[in-house]
Amino acid sequence: MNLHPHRVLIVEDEVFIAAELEDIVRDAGAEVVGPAMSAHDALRLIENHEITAAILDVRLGDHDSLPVARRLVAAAIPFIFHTGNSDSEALSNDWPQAVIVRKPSTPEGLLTALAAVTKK
Amino acid sequence: MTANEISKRKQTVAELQSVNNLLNTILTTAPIGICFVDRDLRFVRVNERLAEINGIPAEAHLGRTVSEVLPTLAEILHEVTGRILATGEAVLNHEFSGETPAAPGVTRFWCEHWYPVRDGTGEIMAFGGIVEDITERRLAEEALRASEERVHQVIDSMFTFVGMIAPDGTLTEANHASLAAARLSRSDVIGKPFWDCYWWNYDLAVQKRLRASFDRAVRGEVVRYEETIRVADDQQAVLDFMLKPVFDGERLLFVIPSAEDITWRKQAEAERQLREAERASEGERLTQFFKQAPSFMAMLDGPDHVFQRANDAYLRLVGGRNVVGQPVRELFPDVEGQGFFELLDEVYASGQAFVGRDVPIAFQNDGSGVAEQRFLDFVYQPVVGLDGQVSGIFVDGHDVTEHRRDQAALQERLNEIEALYANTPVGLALFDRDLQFVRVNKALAEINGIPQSDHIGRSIWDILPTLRDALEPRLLEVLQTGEVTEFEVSGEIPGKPGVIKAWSAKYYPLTQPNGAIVGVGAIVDDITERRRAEAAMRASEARFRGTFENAAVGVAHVALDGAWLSVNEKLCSIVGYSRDELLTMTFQDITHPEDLDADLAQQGQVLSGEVSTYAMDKRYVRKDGSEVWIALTVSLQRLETGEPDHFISVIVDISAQKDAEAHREFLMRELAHRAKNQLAVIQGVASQTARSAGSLDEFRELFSNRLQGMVISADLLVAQQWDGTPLEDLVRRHLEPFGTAGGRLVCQGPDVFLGSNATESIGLAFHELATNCVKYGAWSVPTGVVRVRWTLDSDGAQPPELQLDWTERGGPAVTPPTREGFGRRVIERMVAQKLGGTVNSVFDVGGLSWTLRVPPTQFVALPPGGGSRPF
Repeated sequence: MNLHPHRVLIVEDEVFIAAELEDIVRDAGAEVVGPAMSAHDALRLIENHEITAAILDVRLGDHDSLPVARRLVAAAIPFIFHTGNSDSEALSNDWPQAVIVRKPSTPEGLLTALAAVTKK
Repeated sequence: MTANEISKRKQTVAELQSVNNLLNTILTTAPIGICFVDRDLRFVRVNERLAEINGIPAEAHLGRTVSEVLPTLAEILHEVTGRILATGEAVLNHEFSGETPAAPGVTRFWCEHWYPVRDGTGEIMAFGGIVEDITERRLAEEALRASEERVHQVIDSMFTFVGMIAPDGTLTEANHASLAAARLSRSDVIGKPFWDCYWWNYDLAVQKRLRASFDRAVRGEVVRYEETIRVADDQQAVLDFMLKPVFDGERLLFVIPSAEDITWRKQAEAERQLREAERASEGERLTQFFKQAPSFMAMLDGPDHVFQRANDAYLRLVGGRNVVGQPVRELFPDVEGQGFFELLDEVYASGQAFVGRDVPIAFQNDGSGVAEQRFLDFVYQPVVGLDGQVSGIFVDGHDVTEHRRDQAALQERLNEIEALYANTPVGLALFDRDLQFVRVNKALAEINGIPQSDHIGRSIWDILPTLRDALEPRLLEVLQTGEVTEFEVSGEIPGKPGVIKAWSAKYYPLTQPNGAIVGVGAIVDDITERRRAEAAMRASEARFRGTFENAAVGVAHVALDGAWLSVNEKLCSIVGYSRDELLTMTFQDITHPEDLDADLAQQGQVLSGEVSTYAMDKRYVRKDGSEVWIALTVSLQRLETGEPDHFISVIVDISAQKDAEAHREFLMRELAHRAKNQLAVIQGVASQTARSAGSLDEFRELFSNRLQGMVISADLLVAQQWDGTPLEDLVRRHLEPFGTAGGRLVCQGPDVFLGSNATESIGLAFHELATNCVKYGAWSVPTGVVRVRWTLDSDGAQPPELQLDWTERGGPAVTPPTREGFGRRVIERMVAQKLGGTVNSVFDVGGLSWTLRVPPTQFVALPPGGGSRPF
């Protein structure tokens, strides 16, 4: 699956997962922006890079990535939620346009989801 | 002696002789008695008149003493002459009475004058006496006086008013009746013009009429008319009044007013006229009276007692039977054998009336055969004809059955009252005005502890001496004012000294119909137990209040409409309102809107009686707007009638419990999340390790080391409840597995407590640094040393940042890695990103130097010497 020439923003505060996402996305031919460990960092990266897609971990420590999601929706940039939360139902209700990938995920699952949202 | 002298003496003697003759003449012929007595009271001379008075010849007096001649008068004369000798003065007009020898047993009166007869030297040698018999005069005077007195008495005792008026109109006499009628004294009227006196001066017209009448009387006319006068107390009396002049020849001596009180006669006349007017219809009235009289009446004729007449009352009595013309025996077979007919026969025969009282009689008036018992008062009065024979019997009487019944009922009521008086548990007594017991009932006797009979006739103070001070003023007040007094009193009772009791006492006046207070009634109730119960109630109330107020839970009484009736302190503190504020509110006001319906529904079930209590968890909205979870238990207090009265609510603050529940739920979700997250992390660890591992063995070692590093961080956090960890602990625990003993690790820095985020991130960084160090750096050779230093950088911004330095020395020469593997990404980018800090790595020839600057949000600097854990 080739994601070239997408620029994919990764928002993930778990270091190991962030590194893995970085590798997966990069291995799929896309350029990685981030990973951002906080919403604040993520919003700054969106300003400075013309990203075309994003992977958002929902919970970031004591905060969440929903401000980032709102920005992405506003900018019509496709993204997926990558979350371990069990309350994904509420999430999909609030964000019908988002694709949710449950943690723990497989690289294939992630890439398929990314491909799906970027193709729309 | 010269002839002249002789002639002179002769002349003198002649003169003396002449005087003597004159004296003798006087002495003998004077109509008064004259005598001389010497100092021994012997008669020297006595004239005929005196002898006549004394009833003894004149010669019989001479030479004899007064005592001998007049023994009954001797004592008086001795006294008189003794007085003359002592004073030298004459005693004149000495009146005395006595008997004379001439007429023993007849009292006579004399007026005597006694004077001294002196000799040439002035010595008293004899006494001269002049005696006048005044017996007749005196008798005449006394007769006159007696006569006058009789006249006065007669006049005064007359009911008729009589007086005497001088010709000028001055009233000179008024009799007792005239004075008494107007309560006047003589001085009030005597000497005043007649017409100005009290009787008349109430009315000018009367006075004028009287004066005119007097003028006519003065001219000789007897005037008579009816006049109204004023008598005592401003009452009036009608007089038959007459003025009658009395003349002595032509001369008017006086006018006699006389009057007769005809007031009664006038009134009687008026009444008679009235009666006469009424008498015209009396015949008719008598008939009516007979017919309608409330007493029964009948006229029986002849020996068989045949009814001539019977009045309505009689007919009612005998059950409306038609009686006239029938003999009693035929009419009343039902009365046969009760003795009435025999009585009638006897009265008829004897002519003697019979009077019966309360006589029972049985009638069978309704024909039912059941005799009705009645009681009669009656008279059988024989009627005697012109021939003197009994011709019939008049029957007159009353049916006293109802009266007897009333009396019986009255007696019954009296008995009831007596029984009530005797058996009422309230003490009752009656006192006379001297406060002596007249009556006392059992209850009061028991209160006093003295037998009932011992009270009677004794003073209340005999019975209750210790209560005198408290009671006496009250009782006297009742006697004086007639007002009821009511109060409470306590003290000892006579029967049980030392036992203090309390009573309520009410004293009321016993009055006669005319209002006179004849005694005092007492109503006394022993309220000792009531007082004790009240005291116990107050104590219980105080205990309840104490419990209510000090309860560890909120307690409230709530009205049926939800208004707070009373609340305790605890409830106030739970809801954050003051007591005063709450008492103006309802429970609905502070119940969370989402919980109100459920509460009201359950309350309705309690009100309808479906359940007796209910309990629920619900929220109040506190005054500050925050919510507080409470456990509510409500029960309903009903009145004795069963009507709901109010709710009793017990409120327990369960917010802590609710918080704990919420926290537990949160933890459960968190656990699920973290578990999945952790799996994702481990997946990442495995994947990242696999990317760099050259062999499966190497993968296994690196993978398990990394997991080990994560476990160390987790252990540290668990030890501190995930708040964080002291930096030095973090360094030592992570680096220990890499063989730091023997001085190969040097740690230095102030006490710093890292937050949980920094604990994980910096722990990971140390792990990756140490892994590299063992593989390529200082710890890859035996002499290499790692120094970890941290400082609080206080010269920059406040608050200070933490600067952490990792410096390797004594290892092989290092070259920067060509590939950005996981470890390097962590060390050079991700940790700094995650902490919002900065990092700097220098691959120096002497070894790696790594510096991390951590913003103050991620840690807390502890004061030197330690301190409490901050998070």
